[in-house]
Amino acid sequence: MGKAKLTCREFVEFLDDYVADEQSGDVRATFEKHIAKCPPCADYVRTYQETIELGKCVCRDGEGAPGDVPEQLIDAILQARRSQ
Amino acid sequence: MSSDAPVRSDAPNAEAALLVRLQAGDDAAFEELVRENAPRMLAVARRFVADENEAQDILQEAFLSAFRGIQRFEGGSKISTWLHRIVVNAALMRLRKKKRRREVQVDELLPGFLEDGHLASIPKGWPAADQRLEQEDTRAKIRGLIDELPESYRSVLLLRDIEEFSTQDAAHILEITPGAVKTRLHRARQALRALIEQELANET
Ligand SMILES: [Zn+2]
Repeated sequence: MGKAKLTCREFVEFLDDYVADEQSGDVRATFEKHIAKCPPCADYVRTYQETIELGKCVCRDGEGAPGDVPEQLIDAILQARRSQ
Repeated sequence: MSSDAPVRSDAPNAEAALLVRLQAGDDAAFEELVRENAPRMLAVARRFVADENEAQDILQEAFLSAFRGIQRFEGGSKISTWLHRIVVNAALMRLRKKKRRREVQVDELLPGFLEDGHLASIPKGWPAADQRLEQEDTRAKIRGLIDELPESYRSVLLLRDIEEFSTQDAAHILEITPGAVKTRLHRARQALRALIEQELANET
């Protein structure tokens, strides 16, 4: 992948390394050049990144308030240990 | 649940002291352990299974397996990190026993390419800063879309992007290669991207 020109297929295939920032400087520069010249891929990488962020947020909506675990469940767990 | 615990200078000592009491079989120490960690662990279980009773069963199984393993725990990681992995394992074990749900075909959600490497069709995407993504009903739908991914993809997405395990750790937990984790994660995200795109297109 050292060549200067990147196809959309290659761009999409290695997009995960690009968003994780796990590429060498020259490979990253090639990706950035592609984004600047190719609106569909620019849009694809943006929505791909938004998807990752959305996944994180929606899965954590309303997470773990301390009062959230029913008292009977805590009792059951502690009870089960004593009889283990 | 990785790095949000308050940092206190005596925290490592407090952990070590708690571990000594746990390994000595101190009832109060176990109660402390459960009360402190159960909320976050239950939140993790709920991300893997939709059913509340099932999530509670997973929490209970996880604690029982932690109680059995406490003598072998050497304190190489934080107790909360150790428990995180245990509850994830309990959830995955439960999922393996479950009947298949309705699942989408991941291949059909990946972009197509022409011979010359260009995109076969321009993905529709959605506008930047789309307000709909802030709305609770859209977010609930997106949670549902994650659940439509085939389990082998959904598990990787949950472990890597949501629970934030490293590729290596996720590979270890799922008993697959790091390469397979990477490939499945990329495909899972692309499939979810396409599902969100479809969902938003249907709304208008
Ligand atoms: Zn392109």
